[in-house]
Amino acid sequence: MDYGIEVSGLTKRYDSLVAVKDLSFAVKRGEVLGLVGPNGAGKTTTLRALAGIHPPSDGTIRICGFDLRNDAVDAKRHLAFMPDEPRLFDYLTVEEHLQFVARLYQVTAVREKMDPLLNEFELTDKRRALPAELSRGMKQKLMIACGFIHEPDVLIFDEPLTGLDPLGIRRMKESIVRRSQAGASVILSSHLLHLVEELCDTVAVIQNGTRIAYDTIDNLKFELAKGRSDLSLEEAFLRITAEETPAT
Amino acid sequence: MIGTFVAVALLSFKNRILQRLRKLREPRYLIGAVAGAAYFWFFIFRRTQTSNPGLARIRDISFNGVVVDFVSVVVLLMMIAAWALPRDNGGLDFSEAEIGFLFPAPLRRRDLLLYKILRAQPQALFSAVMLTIIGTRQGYFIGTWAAFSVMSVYFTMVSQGRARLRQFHIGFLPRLGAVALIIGGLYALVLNQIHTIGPIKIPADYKQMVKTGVSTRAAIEAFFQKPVIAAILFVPKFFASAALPATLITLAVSVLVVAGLGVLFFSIAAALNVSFEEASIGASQRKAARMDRQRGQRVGSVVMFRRAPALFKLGETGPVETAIIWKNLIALVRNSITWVVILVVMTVGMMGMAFWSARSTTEHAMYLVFGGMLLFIAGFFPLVGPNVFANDLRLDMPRLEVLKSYPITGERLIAAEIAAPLVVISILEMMFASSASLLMAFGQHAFGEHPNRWLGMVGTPQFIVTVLLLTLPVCAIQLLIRNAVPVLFPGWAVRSKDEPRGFVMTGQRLVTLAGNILVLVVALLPAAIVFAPSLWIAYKFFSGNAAFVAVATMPAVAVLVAEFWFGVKALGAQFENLDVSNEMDVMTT
Repeated sequence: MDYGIEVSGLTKRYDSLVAVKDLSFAVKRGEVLGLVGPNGAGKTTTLRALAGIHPPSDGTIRICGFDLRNDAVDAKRHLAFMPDEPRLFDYLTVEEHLQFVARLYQVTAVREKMDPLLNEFELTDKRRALPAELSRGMKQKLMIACGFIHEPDVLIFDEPLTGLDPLGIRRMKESIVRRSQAGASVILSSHLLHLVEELCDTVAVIQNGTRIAYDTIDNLKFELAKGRSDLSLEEAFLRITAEETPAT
Repeated sequence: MIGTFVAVALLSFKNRILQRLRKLREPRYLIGAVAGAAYFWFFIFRRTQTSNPGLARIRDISFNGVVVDFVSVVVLLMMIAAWALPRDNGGLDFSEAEIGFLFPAPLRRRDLLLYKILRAQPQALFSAVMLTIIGTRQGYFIGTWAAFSVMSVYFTMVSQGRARLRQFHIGFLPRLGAVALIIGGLYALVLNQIHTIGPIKIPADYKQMVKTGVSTRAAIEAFFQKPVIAAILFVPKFFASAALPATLITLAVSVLVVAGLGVLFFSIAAALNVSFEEASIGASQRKAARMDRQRGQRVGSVVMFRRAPALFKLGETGPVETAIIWKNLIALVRNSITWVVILVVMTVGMMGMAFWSARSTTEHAMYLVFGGMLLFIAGFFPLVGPNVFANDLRLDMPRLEVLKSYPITGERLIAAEIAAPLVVISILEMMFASSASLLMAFGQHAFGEHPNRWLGMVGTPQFIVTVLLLTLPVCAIQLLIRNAVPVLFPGWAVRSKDEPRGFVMTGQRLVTLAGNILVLVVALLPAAIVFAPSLWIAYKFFSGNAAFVAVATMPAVAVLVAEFWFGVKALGAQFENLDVSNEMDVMTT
């Protein structure tokens, strides 16, 4: 099986705090995995580790077969990380952001790729604008456009729809689906469970840094529904996390 | 209501102090606090307690009236000038949280005004105590506090008054005109009163008069005792006497009167009943934007020239480092180009003035004056330049998360980040050193037949060669040290809104500067050890020939380059292991 992301025994410790504990999962090419969990569950820590932003305390992460610890640069060439907060360079225009990222990933024929992306994210009119001249949603779109410019095999989204308007949300969902259909492995974290249900093939539920459920959405719902056919992922999520929450 | 407001003000102050004390559990704040406290103790507080006769005399000034009179004049002018300020929307300084909680609450405007005044008291009290400690011996914090607080109430009243005047279509210009008229009238009155005193008689024993100042003081006191002047300064004098009382009775009387005035000012402000809420929201937003801008200016992240073009076109393929350099050069052009222009214009100006002044052969000393100034700048610029041109990793720290996801190794990233400011700083350093050398060479004529050996050395081709060869590696090492701070001690380099300020921040800066200088000296030492004998050989056996001096400089350059290379590798490895999670909250707030 061809996997874009392979995570085995991922553990992240901060002194005495264990943020992520022995987490394992894999995302096939063309698959979308939703990472869900309550606040402070360790979702962002996991995604940052997958993007090579911070080294894991234990475990291995492979991106398109490259070990993120030993072949970091090769692994990173295949991925794009889109954080929840768009962190743009204040002094670069929209177009310059794309040029800059394209050069980092050695993208050829940049112009041919840039224009459709700007069009897709409705940034064509803003190509010479600085981040300060963009709305929060536009910044988010630019951040994601920068992630798409090198056509990565692995896409890592942390709350991708934050700050987007309804049309932007629809377009973003279409963009994610299109790229996964083109063969990209996608992992996204979100509190919007209807989005996860709509976009994702599989779901990993983590709580207190530990994986408490990991299956396809249909299987998860089937197991928890016990005969009911109308159970939503939201209800399934609440049942799973409630079962795992220690009684006080 | 007053009880609640007092409790909120006291609790806020207590929590702020506790928060700052809790922060001291982190070593970076504790070290900063200790260094800052030591600095303030030894350089400010101790100086005010010093046996230095000049300072002691200032502290011992007897407030027999003259000082109080002058302070009264200042208070009066402030009171009048407050009416001439342009803002007339009545907006008051509330924090975003206060606006969020208090404005929708069932409170009257009078209550909000009262809250604003009470909230400022703990801070005003603290300032008054500090001023009393480092200030004059005859000041009492209670009086200073009363004066500060009531002046603040007065300014609040005036801001509401200006807003009310606007409703009567009396805008900025009429107010300005009225204030100018009042001040002009007072000035005329003062001149008139001065004429009535007559000329000050200078006694025969002039030296004695200067020493004691008795006669002058007597004349000034006589002026301030004129009934008209005393009447004008009647109210302001209470403020001055409260802050600088001659006796305890004066203090008690002044504080009582000032407090009464405070009640009066507050009542007027409340009675004006100006709708300040909307303007206060605007003022709060403007304040937040201003603080963001100021913080941005401190770290060089404010884009000043939005449309300035990139210095070169970025190709699609090639070394990844080029992209980082391209990006940082854009940052430099858009954020910091003003400094380049200022420094170039300053150098050209100094050169021009030197040559212009020295048109006649007798004024060669001007070459030395301006050459010396440029030499001084050249000496300090490697230390100061990296602070001014921080368009490198330091500027990118808030985007560290994204930076770390890029496919580039830590060492290549560090080297690329440093490259852009290095180019600019090195060019400017070479400009300073070359200009200094040129002026020193011309200035040698000032010494006639006996040229100064050391100054003469600066004006030689050998000096230029040495400087040009050493500038790049020295500046590179200095930039490396500066970029090491955010990687090794991210908390010291990146500031959040709730960072402790005051002496903790001063202490942190002092420690950083001291560490910087120490590391730089340690880094330059091996190069200096290698440089000294090779330079001696060049002078001893090759008569200081410029070509041989260049060759003699190379071992030192090699040492510096090697140090830089090892430094970049070590810092790159550290960067890759840098765990941003602990610092992200600090960086993004």
